[in-house]
Amino acid sequence: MRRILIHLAALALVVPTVAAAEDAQQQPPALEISGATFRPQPIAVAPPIATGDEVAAADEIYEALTFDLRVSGLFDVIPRAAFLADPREGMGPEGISWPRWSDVGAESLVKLQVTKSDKGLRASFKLHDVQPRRTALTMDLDGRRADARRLAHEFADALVKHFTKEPGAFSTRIAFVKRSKGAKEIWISDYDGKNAAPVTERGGIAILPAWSPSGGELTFTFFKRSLEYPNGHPQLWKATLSNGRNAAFTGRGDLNTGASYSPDGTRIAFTMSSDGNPEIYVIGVDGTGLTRLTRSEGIDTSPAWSPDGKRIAFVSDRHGTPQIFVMKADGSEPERVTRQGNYNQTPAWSPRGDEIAFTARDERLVFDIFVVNVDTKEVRRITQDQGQNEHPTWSPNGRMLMFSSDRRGKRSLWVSSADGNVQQRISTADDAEYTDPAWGPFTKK
Amino acid sequence: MQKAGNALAPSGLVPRQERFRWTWAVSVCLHVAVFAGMLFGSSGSCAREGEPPQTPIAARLVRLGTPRDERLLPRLPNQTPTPPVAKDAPVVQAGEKVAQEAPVPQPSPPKPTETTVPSPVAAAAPEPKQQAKAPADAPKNESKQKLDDIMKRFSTGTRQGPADPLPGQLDGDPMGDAEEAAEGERYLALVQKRIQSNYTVPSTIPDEERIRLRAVVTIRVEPNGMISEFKITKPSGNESFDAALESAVRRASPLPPPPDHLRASLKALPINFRI
Repeated sequence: MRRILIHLAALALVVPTVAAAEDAQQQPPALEISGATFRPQPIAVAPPIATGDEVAAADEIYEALTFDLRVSGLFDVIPRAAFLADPREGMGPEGISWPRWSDVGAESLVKLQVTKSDKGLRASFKLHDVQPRRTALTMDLDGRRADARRLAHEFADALVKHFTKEPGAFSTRIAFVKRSKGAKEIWISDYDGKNAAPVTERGGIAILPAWSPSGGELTFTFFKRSLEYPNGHPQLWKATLSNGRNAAFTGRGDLNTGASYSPDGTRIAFTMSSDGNPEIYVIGVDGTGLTRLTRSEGIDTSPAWSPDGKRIAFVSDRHGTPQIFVMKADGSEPERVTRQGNYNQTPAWSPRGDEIAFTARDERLVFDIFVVNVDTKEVRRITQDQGQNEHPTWSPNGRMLMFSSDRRGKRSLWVSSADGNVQQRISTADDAEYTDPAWGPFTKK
Repeated sequence: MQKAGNALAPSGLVPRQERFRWTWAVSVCLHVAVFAGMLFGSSGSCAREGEPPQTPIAARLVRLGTPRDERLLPRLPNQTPTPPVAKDAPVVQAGEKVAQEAPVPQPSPPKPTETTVPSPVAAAAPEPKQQAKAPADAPKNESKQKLDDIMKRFSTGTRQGPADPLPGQLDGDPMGDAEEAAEGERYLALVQKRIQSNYTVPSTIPDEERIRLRAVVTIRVEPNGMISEFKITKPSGNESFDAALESAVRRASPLPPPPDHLRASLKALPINFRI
C-alpha cells in the first residue's frame, strides 16, 4: 500500500512537469523585426504671413526653407497646393485647425511671419507638432533684408538640430570652379549658390578647391601657360578668404594637385610627380616637412583624409584600373576598398567616417556618384540615368552630398540627400559651367 | 517493517520481499530518469516531435531575372524610366556592353566566367522583348539597330541606356522581390513580412538612438486573422519610434487566418523590434 502511494506521489510530480513542458513548447519564439524603412517626416510649411514690403522677403524665406528641408532627406515637405487650412490662419497654437493639417498628412507644421525690425526684418518661426497639438520650437531671427535666405537657413539648422540632435549644414559655404572664357576660376557662395563671390581672378586654370578645417583658407590647383611651361605647370595655391589674397604654396616637380587638409588643419595631403609617376605626399601647412606616402608603380592621386585624421583615401591604378584605396595616414597598410567597376575616382570621406563617396564610370560608360562603406565595402548608388555626375563632396554633417551634373545641359552643381532620394539643382547667378564643388566646414557663430 | 518481516519469515516469503526492494529501486531510478529527461530535454528533442512553431525566417519571393555580375557597379532597381529607346532587344544591348567591357582591364578579381555573362542575358532577352514591344526585328538589322541606339543615346546627351534586367534567379517568380530563398515556419514568417513591410520609422530619429532603440510588443491574432490587441510590453523610450511600431502593426492587420496549431500561441505573440 505504501509502495503504491509512493508511486502515485512520483506520478503526481511528473505529470505537471510534462504539462508545463508542453506549455513552454507551445509558446512561440518572439518574432524579431528589424531593418526599418526610414521615411521622411511629413512637414508642412504654412504660407508666410507678411504685409507690404515684407512679402517679397517672406516668399524668399519660404522658398529657402522648403528647399533646405527637402534636400535634407529628413523631411517630406507637403506641397502647398495640397493645403486645406485657411491661408490666413495665424501663427498658433491657438486658432490652428489641426485636423486640416493632419488631413494632408502633416505631422509637423511650420508657421512663419515676417515683420519690420530695426536691423531690417524679423522672421518669426514656430514649429508645431500636429498630433499632440503643441508648439515644439519658437524662434525669432533679425537680419538685413539681403540676408533673408540666411535667416531661413538658420531656422532650418535649428529644425534639424531639434529632431536629430545634430547640427544642420544649411548655414555653410561651398567653393567651386566656374568656367568662363577659357579660364577656370575658384568661387565661393552660400551652400545654396547665393551670395557668390570670386576667389581667384587670374585668368588661368584654377581647379580642385579644398577648404581648411577652420574655413579661413582654400588650397587649389592652379596652372597657366607660360614660355617656361607651354602646357602649364600645375601648382598648389592658397587663398586667404579674409583678405582675398592668394599665392603659390608649393610647386615642386612637374605636377602638384588635389590638396586635402588633415582634420586638425596642420598638414595637407596632395599629389606630386617629379618623375612622371604621381604619388601622394604630405606637407605641413607652413610648407615644411614634405613626406612621401605612397610608393607604387601605378598612379596614386586624389587623397582625402578620414575625419579622425588616421587614414587617407586615395585613387590608385596599381591593380590595373583606377580604384579607391585607403591607407594609414603614414602611408602604411594600403587596402583596396572598391571592387566593382573599373574606373573609380575622386573619393570624399564622409564626416561621419563610415563612408566614402566617389565618382565611378559604370558599364554604360556614364559617370555617376556612388558611396562605398569603408568597412563592409558595400557600394550604394546615388545617381543613375541622369547625365554625367562627378566629383561628390559631403556636407559637414554628412547628411547631404553635392556634385556636378550635366543632366540639364551645361554642368551645374546639384545637392542631394545622402541616400540620393532627393536631388535639387543649385541655382546660380548665370548659366556658366560649374564644377568641382567643395563643401566648407561649419561656420562658427 | 521489521515486525512484518519477522512475521513473514517463517511463511517462506522473505525472498519475495527481497525482490520487491529491487523493483522499488528500479522504479525510483526510472522516475528520476523521466524527471531529468523532462527538465533538461524538454526544449530539445521533445520539442521537435509535435507541431511546434519553428523559428520564422523572413521568406521573400525570388525575383525572376539574371544574376548581376558582381564586378559591376550596382544599379538602382526602381529607376528605369527609359521606355522611349526600346526598339531592339534591350537586354542583349546591355549584355553586349558588359561583354565588351569586362575583358579590357579587370586585373585582380577572379574572373568567374566570361561566357556566362552574355548567355543568360541572351536567354532572358526574349521575355522583356515581348513585353516591351519590338516586333522581332530581322537579325541582319540588329547591328545597325544597335549602332542607331548608341548614336541616339549619345546625341540626346542623357546617355541613359535601355532598362537593365533586375537581378534575381533564373527559376524565380516575376513578382518576387528577393535574390535568394529561405525556409521556415510559414505563417510566422508571413506575419513577420507583413509587419516588416509596414515598418517605417521617421528619418528624424537621431543616429545614436538608432543603434540602441529596442522595444518589445505583444500582439493577439484572432482566428480570423485580425490583430485585436497591441501592447508595448517594453517601450523604447522614444515616442515617435513607439508610435511607428503601433502603426506598423495596425497596418499589417488583418492577416490571413492562422493555422490551427498556432492559434493558441498567437493569443500573445511577442515581437522584438529594433531599427
